[in-house]
Amino acid sequence: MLNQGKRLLGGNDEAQRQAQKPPAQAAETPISWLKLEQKDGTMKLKAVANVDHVDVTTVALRDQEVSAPKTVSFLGYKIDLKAKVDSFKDNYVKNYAQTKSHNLMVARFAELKAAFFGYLLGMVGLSSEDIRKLQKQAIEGAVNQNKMLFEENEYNAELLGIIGGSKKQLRAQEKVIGEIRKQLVTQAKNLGLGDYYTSRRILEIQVEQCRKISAKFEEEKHSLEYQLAFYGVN
Amino acid sequence: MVENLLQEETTFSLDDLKLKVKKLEGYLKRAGRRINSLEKKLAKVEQEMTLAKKKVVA
Repeated sequence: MLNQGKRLLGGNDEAQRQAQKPPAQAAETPISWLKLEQKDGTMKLKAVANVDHVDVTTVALRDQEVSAPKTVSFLGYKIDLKAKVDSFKDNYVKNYAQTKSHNLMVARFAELKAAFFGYLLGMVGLSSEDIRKLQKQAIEGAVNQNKMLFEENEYNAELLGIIGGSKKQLRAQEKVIGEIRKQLVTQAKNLGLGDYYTSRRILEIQVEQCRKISAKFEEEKHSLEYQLAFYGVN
Repeated sequence: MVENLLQEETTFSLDDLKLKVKKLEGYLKRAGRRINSLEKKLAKVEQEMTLAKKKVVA
């Protein structure tokens, strides 16, 4: 109560000092705010879109370093392949998914690696049925990832379109997003989705992403209005 | 010489908060217009597809 009285008596300076500590921040905001000082000394507020660039390199990132097998029966040495079955399976799934990459070089190299790991799995004793299951698992994962990345890419495109910016910057960003879209469509075709990304489906995804952006803006607006109300400003 | 000085969010004043709300209102309007435009496009595409299907049947 005493603090509230002090705050009210303190005037605008006190209220502004209090404003330096917002009571709550939105967890994931679609935009960041930058305060820019102009040459003439005036301050300008600028919004910057929070865009995570979609990565479609399809080069799998390993969680852990894979060390060489300890015991292999090769030139008199013993290698315990069975202890590495899980690692081989993991590598096989990752490389099999990469064989469907839009990048021809990556796809061919992944085919080579997948064939090698398939051979090792066969040596360990995995049946062709098990290997087929692994292939199915790899394709399902890659399809889900492709759909998710496509939606994320459309989200970025819509957000940049709404926030805007300089024409040159926007054109460059649109070019990058268009290229990523093309790569994802190629990858989808390689994954057996055929003509999944029709103009209708792309429009549906865009509408969905726009609604998501709008909801996040609303959330941000409510949070700011709450902050304003908290400091006693209407 | 640094022309633009970027300041952290913690230094935003109440006036800045009001400006943020105003800007967000503008973005919300833009998002709404974009949704309407996309929905119109989608309706048009759906109509074209229905017509194409009818032609195939006929």
